[in-house]
Amino acid sequence: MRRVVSLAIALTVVIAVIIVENVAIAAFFPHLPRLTTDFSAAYFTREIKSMKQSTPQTLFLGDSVLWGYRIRGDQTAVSILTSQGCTCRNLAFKSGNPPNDYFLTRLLLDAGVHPRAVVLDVNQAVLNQSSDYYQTLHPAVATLAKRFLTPQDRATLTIPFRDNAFHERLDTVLSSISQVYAMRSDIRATLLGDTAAAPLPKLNPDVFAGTYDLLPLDNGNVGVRFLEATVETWRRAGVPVLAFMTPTNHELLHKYIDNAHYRANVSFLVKELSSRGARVIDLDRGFAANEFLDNAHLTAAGQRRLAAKLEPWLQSAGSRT
Amino acid sequence: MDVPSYYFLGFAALVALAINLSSAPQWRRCLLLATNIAFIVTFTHSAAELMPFAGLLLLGYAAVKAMERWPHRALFIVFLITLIFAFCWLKRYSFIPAALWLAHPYFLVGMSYVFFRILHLVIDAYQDALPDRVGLLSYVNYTLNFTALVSGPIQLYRDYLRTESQEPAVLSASAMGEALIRIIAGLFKITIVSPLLYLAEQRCLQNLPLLAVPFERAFDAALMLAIFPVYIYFNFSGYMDAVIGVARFLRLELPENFNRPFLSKGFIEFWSRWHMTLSHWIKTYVYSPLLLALMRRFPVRSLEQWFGVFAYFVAFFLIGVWHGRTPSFIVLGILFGLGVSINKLYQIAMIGGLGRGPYTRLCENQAYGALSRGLTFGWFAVASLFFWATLPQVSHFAKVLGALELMTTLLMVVVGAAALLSALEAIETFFGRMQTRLVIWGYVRTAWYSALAALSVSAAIALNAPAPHIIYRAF
Repeated sequence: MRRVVSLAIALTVVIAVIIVENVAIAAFFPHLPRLTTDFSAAYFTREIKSMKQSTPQTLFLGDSVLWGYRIRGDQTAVSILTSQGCTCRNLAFKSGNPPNDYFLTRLLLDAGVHPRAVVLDVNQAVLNQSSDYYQTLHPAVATLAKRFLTPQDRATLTIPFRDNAFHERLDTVLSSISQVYAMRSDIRATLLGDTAAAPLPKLNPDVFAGTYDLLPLDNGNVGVRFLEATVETWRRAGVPVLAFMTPTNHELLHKYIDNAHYRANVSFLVKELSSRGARVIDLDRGFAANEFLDNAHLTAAGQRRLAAKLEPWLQSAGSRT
Repeated sequence: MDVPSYYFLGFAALVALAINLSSAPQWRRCLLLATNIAFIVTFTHSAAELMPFAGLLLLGYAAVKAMERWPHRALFIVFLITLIFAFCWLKRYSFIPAALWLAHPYFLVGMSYVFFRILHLVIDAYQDALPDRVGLLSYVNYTLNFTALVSGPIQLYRDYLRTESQEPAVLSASAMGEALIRIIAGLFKITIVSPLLYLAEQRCLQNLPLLAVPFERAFDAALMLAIFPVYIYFNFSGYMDAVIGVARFLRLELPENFNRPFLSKGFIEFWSRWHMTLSHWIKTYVYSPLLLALMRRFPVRSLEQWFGVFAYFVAFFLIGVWHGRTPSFIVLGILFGLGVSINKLYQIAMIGGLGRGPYTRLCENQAYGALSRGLTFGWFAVASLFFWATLPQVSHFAKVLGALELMTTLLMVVVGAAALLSALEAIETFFGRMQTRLVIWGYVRTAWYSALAALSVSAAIALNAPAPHIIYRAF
């Protein structure tokens, strides 16, 4: 009898601890200034819910440039704009690319999140089709946007679902029971930090050989297709889009990108996105070499300048409180 | 395989199931041998990596057998020096020229602990103090016992042999419950308490140069100084709890290594409660022989207590030096040695001045006891600084703080520790009383450890990392 009671107590306590953890995470886990590298589907769902309750005026979609690679979350252009009164939300993430932006757009609109404006970071580097990386969905986005994936998307994109159905089911069950399990990657990044600590290697232009695919861009490019679809989806929802060409370190990359092919691709993107109703700002050459950490990632000073460049447009779009 | 990871626990669970199939000594010995070897193999990539360690083991076994057969002083000294040199050479102590070190990587995990076990066998064999002739199987199992390989404890051969094959410990339901509780407590200390303390200590370290207000700087430095010993305690004693619990499922009994060390009222007492098996080893094989040798060489009664002070210094200096190979560890050794010898000198002076009775009564005084605890903790905290910081770092801290802030920092550590440790003792006394009075205490305990188990698993999930790092693994 004593052992049965002990077992019942142990079980009750374990269940109680899980409940308390779930409640504590719901109540106290912060809304981070930016998504963590391995953000979870659970965290993003929570963010969508909070955005549905009080929709931010401007959403930022993009990749590691806007996310703030190698700088703190409070040093990014979006955080700076937020501190200046913009109700902005940075949904860019380290492995962001046009397919991810598109499915995030679908998820947000489906959940009823209608911002006043969307800012899109258009980085020519992520349109490089020779790298699978830029056609890969983030696991959390892939999990949440499963219902939006067409057979063509499944054929074109790399979708990191678990091969093993048992593991996937187990993951789903555990995630539904414990928020600690579901949001483990976000908790870990929050506790231990999410900024690269290793010193930046000495910059060498040759490292970036092949980063920019100089083949002429067209609508057959997977990235371009999803970029256009993202702009069109927001436009159909009545949300204005500001697309900016990612600032690029021309001094460093001179021998690779200061040529007619690269310029033609920039012009193509400006034309295509404008024709779909986006306001496009070309910041490709707008920054000095010392404002870059490498080919495109900005220093804290560079992020401050990016914020200053975007600020007038946010004013005109009425995105300032 | 990291200890105590969940893989380690799974591995140990399988061994426990197998070993409990039979109580036959040969079955237990053979299975333990296979397990110990399998455990070591998980750390290595090739057999060549194991050769230097195997060489040390073989040398040790040859020394034990030689001492059993020919217990001559000269031969004993030759073996002792050879073993010590082999150990220092394999551990790459800086006094050995780097050109003599082995160039290829090799297995070193737990070598210090194995070395202590080998020396214990050789010395006891020479003194004919071993219970029996040491068989090869028992020798290998004793020195490489997988539950105690990585970071100890340093068990005596006689005690090991008793539960290995002579009288395996009884594994009743309540013994299993107690063992489980030890494992849970260990995991909780390692996965939750110790990483949090480490983070706190690192934060203090990062903040120190950024703080402008002198009081804030002193407070930050005091926290940094005070957190580290507590962090090591939770990390190391957590490991001990886990391996003691695991060994119990194999019907092995490992000795305790910690007994609420921060409640000690003096540095000598501290070392009888902190890393107990190491300090016991050092007292048995360094302190006592040295003291006896001095007393025999200079048989003057009035000098005996001074010899005691000196022997204490040497023994605990060696403990400090054993912790590492850089000059900081020499300072650590000096501080450990000074701690015990000053404590001994103080006792001599107080007993001489006040008399034994009044001094004992003074020690029983609560305020005096609290202050003694604060001073003991403070001394250990300052010594521990040399455990984790290099000499230039320590000098940088001193420069950042300046003399006045440094004094304030030390005062804060001593007074803070005195107050907090007294409160801790009061809480402990309260729970001790509850334990005897409360009928449902057993259920409260079950609930408490169930909560700790759930939290430890959650922490492991959230951190999603390999097993936590055990500081003492490096030794």
